[in-house]
Amino acid sequence: MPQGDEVFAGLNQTGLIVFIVLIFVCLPLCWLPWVIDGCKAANKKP
Amino acid sequence: MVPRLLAEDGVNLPRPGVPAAWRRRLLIPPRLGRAIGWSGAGVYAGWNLYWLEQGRLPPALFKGLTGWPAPTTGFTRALLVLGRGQWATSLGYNALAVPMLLLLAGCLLRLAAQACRGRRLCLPGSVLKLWGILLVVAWVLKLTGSRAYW
Repeated sequence: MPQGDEVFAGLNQTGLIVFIVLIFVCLPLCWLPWVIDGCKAANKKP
Repeated sequence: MVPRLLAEDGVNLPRPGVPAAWRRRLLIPPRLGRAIGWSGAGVYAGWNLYWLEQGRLPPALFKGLTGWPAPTTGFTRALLVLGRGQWATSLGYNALAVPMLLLLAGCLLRLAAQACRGRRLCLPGSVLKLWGILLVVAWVLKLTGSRAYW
């Protein structure tokens, strides 16, 4: 289940960190946080 | 009595006995998170455009900045030489190219199946852990391997 508050573009804090890490070490996998529930925010900003 | 693990809105319940100020340990405030996220997206787009304009596949940003190989450095070369039957050379370029390819294909197939059925696109959290393990092992093998394959 998605969890936590939105920090960036539908991602929670974990998702944002994973996104930044993947940008630097594995560009082709940058999209992963948006399809993994643990990285997505439950509370989206209105 | 089994305690509820999730509140009705799907957000994790705070643990009893934990001060309210400690429950939401948001280390990255939303404004800073947006700045970091959009900066990262800009770097991502710029990096890709820079290399694609030259007709080349973009290398890992980590390698471009540090000169050290990233976990997936050599992935494309490994698959190309594997297609020519050069197993040893393929392992030298990236020893986990085939497992990574299989995992990537599995992820994309699952997402495609979900999309075709009109379901929400979602991969289990275990996929992230699996990618983490593969990338770490590939990175260690890369860094401890021959520099000729960097």
